[in-house]
Amino acid sequence: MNASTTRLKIWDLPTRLFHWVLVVLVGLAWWSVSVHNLTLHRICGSLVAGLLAFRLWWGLFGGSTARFAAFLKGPGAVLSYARGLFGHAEPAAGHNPMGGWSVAALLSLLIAIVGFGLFAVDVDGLESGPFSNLVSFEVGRTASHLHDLMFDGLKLLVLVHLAAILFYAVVKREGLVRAMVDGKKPLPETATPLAPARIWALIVGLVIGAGVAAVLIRLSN
Amino acid sequence: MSLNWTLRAGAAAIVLATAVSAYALDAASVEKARSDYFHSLGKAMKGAGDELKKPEPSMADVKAFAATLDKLAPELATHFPAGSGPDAGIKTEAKADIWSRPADFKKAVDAFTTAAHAYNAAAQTGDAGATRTARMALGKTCGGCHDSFRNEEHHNH
Repeated sequence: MNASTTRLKIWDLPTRLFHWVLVVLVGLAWWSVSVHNLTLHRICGSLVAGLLAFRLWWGLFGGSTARFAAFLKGPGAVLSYARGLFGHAEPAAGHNPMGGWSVAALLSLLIAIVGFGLFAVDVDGLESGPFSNLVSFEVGRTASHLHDLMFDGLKLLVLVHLAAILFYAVVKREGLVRAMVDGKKPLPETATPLAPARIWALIVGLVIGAGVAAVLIRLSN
Repeated sequence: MSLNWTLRAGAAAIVLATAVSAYALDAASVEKARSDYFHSLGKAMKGAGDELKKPEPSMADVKAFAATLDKLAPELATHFPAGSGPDAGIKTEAKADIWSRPADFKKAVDAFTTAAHAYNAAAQTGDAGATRTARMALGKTCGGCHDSFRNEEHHNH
């Protein structure tokens, strides 16, 4: 860190909590299915759905760096960022143009996984997602296969995510993990810090997320 | 004489090829019937499960699904004739263990048949709670057998 940089706040608490709770819940969901505990698996899935609902809301009305409009850039910005990847570009005060799309891809995959999980039926016809009664056994089995397939995609993308974090730590000397923990990142004093969201946006988001999770948990068991 | 020998060899080759292809076809059709059979078990399980999830399940439907399952259950062992495993060159989820550990397989199949019978008995009383419990117990016998004798089609963990 040179003299002209300072640790600026870039991630608000809801965004950071979303991230880490998601990590724990996806891990727990993975583990629960490996020990055939589908009741726990459905609870995890329902909570993840609640988190995702919150995150979509937060992408519209959350803190400035969490908003989709702020981090989803056009192809020109992405290409120019990619070209300067090994150069001495200024660290981003939020998602960089490539990272933004990686976040969008991760969120899309998670939504697909949860979505297919709602209709999934296991091979025995014994365990199933909360909306599986709306579809036939065949459609439920297909949903289950797609649920698996999308999770393979997620694992792949998480590896890319981790590789990128390592790349930033080693090559660019940017501590992205610490920033996602305490919300702050060393940035030039001229960088734009986080503009926090309004409290009503947080309250509405929490109500939406908790509502989605509660309804799904109730329908699941 | 030489022509005769060639004809005989040709005829023998045709017979052999037909026999081999008939054998391969047989394993494939066994696999198809087996897959359809398990499919019908899954359908019956799901059908009852969908009803039993409701606060006021239609027990008439549950009874019908349970009866179907109980009727199908004893048929299970017949779907695993020797030569219909992974060695037959067909795509199957059946593990070779089914034929290499026949006593264990029979035990697992018997547990399923017994549980299916108990499940149907519970369903026919019309008691939704008891049926749910019996259905879960039956499900455990599906999973128990699958853990040892079935290759999951898609799981990398």
